[in-house]
Amino acid sequence: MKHRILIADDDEAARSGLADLLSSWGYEVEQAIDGKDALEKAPEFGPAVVIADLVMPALDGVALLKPLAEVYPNAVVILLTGHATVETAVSAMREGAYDYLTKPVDPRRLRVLLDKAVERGAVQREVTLLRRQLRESRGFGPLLGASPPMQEVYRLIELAGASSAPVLITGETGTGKELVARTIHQMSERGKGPFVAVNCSAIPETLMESELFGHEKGAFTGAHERKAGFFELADGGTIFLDEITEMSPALQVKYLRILQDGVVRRIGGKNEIKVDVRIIAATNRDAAQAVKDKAFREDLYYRINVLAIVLPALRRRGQDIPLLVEAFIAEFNEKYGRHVKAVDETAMMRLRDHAWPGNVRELRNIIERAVVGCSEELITPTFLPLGIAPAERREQGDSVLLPLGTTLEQGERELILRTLESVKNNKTRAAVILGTTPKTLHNKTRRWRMAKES
Amino acid sequence: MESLRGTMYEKALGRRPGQKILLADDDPDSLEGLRALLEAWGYEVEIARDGRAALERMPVVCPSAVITDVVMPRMTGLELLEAIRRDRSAVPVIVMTAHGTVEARRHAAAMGAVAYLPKPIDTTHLRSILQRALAGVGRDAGS
Repeated sequence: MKHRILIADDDEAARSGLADLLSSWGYEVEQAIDGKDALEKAPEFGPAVVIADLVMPALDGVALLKPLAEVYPNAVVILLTGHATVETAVSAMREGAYDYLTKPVDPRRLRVLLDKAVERGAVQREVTLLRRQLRESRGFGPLLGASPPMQEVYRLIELAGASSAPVLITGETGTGKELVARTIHQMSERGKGPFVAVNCSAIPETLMESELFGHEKGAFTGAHERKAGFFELADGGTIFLDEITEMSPALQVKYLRILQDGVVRRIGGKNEIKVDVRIIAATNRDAAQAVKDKAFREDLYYRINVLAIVLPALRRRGQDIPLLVEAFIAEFNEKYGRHVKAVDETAMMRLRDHAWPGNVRELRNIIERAVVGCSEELITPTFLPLGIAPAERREQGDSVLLPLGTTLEQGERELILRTLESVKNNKTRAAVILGTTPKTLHNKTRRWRMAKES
Repeated sequence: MESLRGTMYEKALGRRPGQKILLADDDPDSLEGLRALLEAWGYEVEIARDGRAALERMPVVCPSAVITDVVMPRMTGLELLEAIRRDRSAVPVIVMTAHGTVEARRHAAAMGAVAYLPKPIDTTHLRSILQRALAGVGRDAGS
């Protein structure tokens, strides 16, 4: 295959000389008289490499980089420079130029550089293509959805993946906060490091401190051994703190110190341990409101909120439902050895009308049940729980509808989760309503979570 | 505090050379939190603990934007805004407050504040306001 190279230089003699040289090496060459001209010619010509002079009247080599990346991101750019401007060329590399050559061009160096550049360009094109496919077709990595709100989420994930700044993910239960956190982690330069997920509301407050920060042997009754905390375990990686707004004020102060100083101290420990941990926090509450209510520290709020990602509720992206349904059917066909093809039209209408308080997780559970229960190729409304009802019934109020065939355990779970939702996850209030103790609720929710994770 | 700037926040979202922000707030939590946030976004931040201190820092710092609380001792944020405009400075000013009134908002708007934000600030909103206000002042590497 003949690789195409575009040369942009206002010096006619230098340009055609270079063009002749490259042609003799077997490249297909096009010439542009300045940056502006190159910008117009690049998309049509489709070069693997653009060689641009640093100094040109209309749009110089550096100014060319950004607009070129927009109209034609597939080219690798090599800049040509006189001796005096090496510094500019170095800064241009920071802006995205691949490399630079000083004039007069040393043919041997140019040839080596071109070989590398062409190879690099191929990789770059592949990445661009892959990324576009990921986005346009179904979603982004493990995340599914092509709707505009999800596109915005993907954009933010990419931004977060390229940095090590703290991120705050806000979203209702079941919208995939942990999945987003994992994706950011994997995309980041610490992707090979550990990913430690901690649910701040699941661990009793008395244990939280030792879980997060670790303890020395004999630090308190029951501390038989020295134990590393989550922050230490996550060293070199990412810690994901879910339900961050449920953290007690005392812990918030300690946590703030980690953010400020990057050090932890085990309970009973004398030394501070330096940790390199990226923090991703999540909440299903309005964090700003929690600050107003004085439940969450304002300084902490700003510090974890460097990048805010808001995950849309499923009812706000109903257009993604068919795609999600299709993916989940495929998943559970595989898992249970079923041969379900799709959901029928009426069932799909029901699914699109449902309010989805449990979001994607709820949809996934329902499709799982339907696939298991369905003996035919099409899922009809009879295989959906009664709760997935036409819109007018759903709007009637806060009731839990359990279809016949629900097990006691499933029913209990549904009732507890819906009650928790209705009181914004306040376990004490939920316990009062359900006539049980916060401890029992806590144990049950923890068991479900562990079952989910294993 | 210093070590943090070296580790977690430094270079977090790209530098914005030359984009200095003067931040005035008498609440230390809010001040330090916002300072860390703005630095994480790549801005240089100068702080002042009240309006008078901020006004005195203005000619030294030459900020690209000012973010000020309203209720502060010695000089309020609105008085600061007024003084800045009296000096014929067109620097973008963002006013924030935990207890906003319609009157204060109108006043801030009349004095040419670019935004009037309730506290705690919606950080995404603040970021886009800053990016818009500073467009042309320097390259925005953050988006």
